Amino acid sequence: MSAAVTERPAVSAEPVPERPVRFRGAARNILAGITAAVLGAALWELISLTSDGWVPGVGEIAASAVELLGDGEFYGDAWISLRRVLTVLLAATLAGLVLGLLAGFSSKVDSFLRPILVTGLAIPDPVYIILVILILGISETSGIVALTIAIVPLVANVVISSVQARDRGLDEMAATYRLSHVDYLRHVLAGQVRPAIVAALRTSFAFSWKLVVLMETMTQSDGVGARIYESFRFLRPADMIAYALLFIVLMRVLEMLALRRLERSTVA
Amino acid sequence: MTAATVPARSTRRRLPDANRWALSLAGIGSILVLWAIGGSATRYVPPIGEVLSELPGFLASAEVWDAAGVTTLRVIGSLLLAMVLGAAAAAVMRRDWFWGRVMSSFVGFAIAVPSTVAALLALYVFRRDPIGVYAVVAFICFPFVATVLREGMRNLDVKVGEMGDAYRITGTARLRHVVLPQLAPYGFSAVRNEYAHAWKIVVLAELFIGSSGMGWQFARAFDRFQLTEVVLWLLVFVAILLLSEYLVIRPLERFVLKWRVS
Amino acid sequence: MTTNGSLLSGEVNLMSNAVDGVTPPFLDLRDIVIKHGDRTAVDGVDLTVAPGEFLALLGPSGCGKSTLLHVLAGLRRAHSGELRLNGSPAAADLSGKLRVGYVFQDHRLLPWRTVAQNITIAMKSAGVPKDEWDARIDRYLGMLRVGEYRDSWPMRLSGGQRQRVSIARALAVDPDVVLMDEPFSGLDEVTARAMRLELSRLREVSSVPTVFVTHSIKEALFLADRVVTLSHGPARVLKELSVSLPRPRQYEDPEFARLEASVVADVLKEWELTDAAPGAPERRAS
Repeated sequence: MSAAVTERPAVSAEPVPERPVRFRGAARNILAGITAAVLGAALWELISLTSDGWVPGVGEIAASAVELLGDGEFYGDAWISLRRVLTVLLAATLAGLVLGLLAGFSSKVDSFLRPILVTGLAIPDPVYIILVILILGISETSGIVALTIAIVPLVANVVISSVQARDRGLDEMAATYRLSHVDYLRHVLAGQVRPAIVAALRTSFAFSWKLVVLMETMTQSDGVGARIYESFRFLRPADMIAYALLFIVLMRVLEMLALRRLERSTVA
Repeated sequence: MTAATVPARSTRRRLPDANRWALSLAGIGSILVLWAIGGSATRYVPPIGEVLSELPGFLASAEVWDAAGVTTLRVIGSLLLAMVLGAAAAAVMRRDWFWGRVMSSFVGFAIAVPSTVAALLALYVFRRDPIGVYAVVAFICFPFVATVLREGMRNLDVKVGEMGDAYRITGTARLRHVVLPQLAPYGFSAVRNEYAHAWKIVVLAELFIGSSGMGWQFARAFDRFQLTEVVLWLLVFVAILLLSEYLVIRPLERFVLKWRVS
Repeated sequence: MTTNGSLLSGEVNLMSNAVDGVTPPFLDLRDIVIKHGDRTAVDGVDLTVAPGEFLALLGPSGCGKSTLLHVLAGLRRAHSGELRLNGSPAAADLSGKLRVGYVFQDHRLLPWRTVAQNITIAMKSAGVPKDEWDARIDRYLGMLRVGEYRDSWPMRLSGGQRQRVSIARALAVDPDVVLMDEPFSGLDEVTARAMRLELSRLREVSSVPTVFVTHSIKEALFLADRVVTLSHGPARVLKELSVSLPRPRQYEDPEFARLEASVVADVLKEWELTDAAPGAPERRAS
């Protein structure tokens, strides 16, 4: 490790290299992506070969993925899971945002919520799912409630630190010029809280869909998570990995399309 | 846990200590009230009294401490592994443009793999061998470590580096006195976040893979519908997590970062 | 300023070392050109530093004087030109040949190491023998009147005290040359005055050759044996001035004021003219 963590040259002693021409940079990006994919596949094959046939090879997984996409089996479950992800996302973001804003602005609320959030963060996700099922019974709603409860502390934490990091100088300015509450909210706060909202969305998205998979594995009979567990139990590893991969790709694409655009528009 | 930031030093006006403590106690109290209501409203949530009366006996059993010890060991081991992997990945991302891009695609992908999937896969690769638990936890945690440490390496102070050049501070002295202290806050941030994360993942991994450890005990108690035991395990879990955070990690961080003058 | 005769190094070497018997300048820079990428930062500067001399480089902000210091510190290479050290050529690169004490505009102490550790780390890297460390730390911290902060964290010190420690560090490494890059420009006026006084007092006990970069005419005249005025960037030498005022110098001394007025007059038209010239936008060099 010691050799790895060295600084880059502290002084820009030599002439700064010319910025690569745009299309060349793009080509290098694509090349890097391809290299990563090929390396990943090779690594996978290696694991597959050393596992006495338990872990399927890249070819099997690809065939399985094509089949899932081809006969349309994937879409129904993906849609069900996606709907759950979006519900959890919405609920957790809203609840986390409200709690986070309250605690961020009032140190009283912060003191009150702090131990609750810390405890909430310390409880493992499967336990939430188990407990909520015990109380509400197995149903669509109980899963979603459990996940929302599990994710809210994460979101609230991110929002709290974002609000607390706001520019106090601007608050003083607003007070000096006696801005009305409405004007303060609109002109001073909105701009500063927007990054918090984006952070909240990112956090809850990152966790909600991973937890939806867990919840479906444990309690549901439909959705991608349920299919993953089913494939696992019926010893169809290729199907299991294909389901997981397809869903990961779908989620990454969604994240890039929606969240990144959102982020860019708020930063600019 | 995704936020790759080092918490800024809070400059807020503080409430008087007594008020803060009172409010925090009220916060804890509200959890207990919720539990009491839950306990009396449904048949399934064991009431507080019952749990508390069984707590001494539970804590006295050697089996409990064995399971807790096994799991703690797994958490620490896999966290170390994740830190090493994460540091290596961050260094690659920082040093070389091309391999950095390759590495960040790996990290971006690894961050997106649900821990459930990782645990099920580990079952195929390692069967029920506990090594699978290490592999799952390290795999899930390392991309987060890498993200935080890369941020730290990106923020290395050029001016301090220039000073090091002028005085020819090189090699291990450079690493010890110039580079690592700058990465330390990021390292602690990573450890703190990923320690809690690792505990949660380890339970999940043991739930699927294990034949020992707290996650497996959780699952077994639940399968037998011994809900008081489930809650007891939960209490032990939360206690270990909070105690180690407040009694070990935070004091250690304060000690290492004591040069930061508030 | 270029000396007579050929610039072929061997020949001049022979002349200056053996034949004349005159001590060669400690540092001798000839026609030094330094470039940032395509942009020229220093354009053909000739400069000498005599043994034990305190030389001030006076130039407007961004003229490339810090860049020149970087070359002297071996932090970067000159694009072309000749560098001699005690009369012998040193190519375009001084790194490793000179032991420098560097005082930056900001203190650049390691905030996570105590004052004493900061000095020790620099001394260790400079190869100062271990048994001298303690005595040197005490001596130089005492000399700069910050001995009591030996075991403090740098961030607990005031700006002036940090700069004192930074100077103590520069002296403690037993340097061949001390380089100072506007060390007092970040301090308030009163502290800066006190520091200048301190520095000129230090000259009485230690005579390490010093190159002091500043944009303050007063400061240059107050401290230096010789002042070299540089043009607006890319830097060229405008003028050299030996300051023969007796020490300790006084800002209120009529002679001092006269000298200052003449330098101001010289410099004003140059710096201002180039400033106003199109195509010469102000840029910070460092």
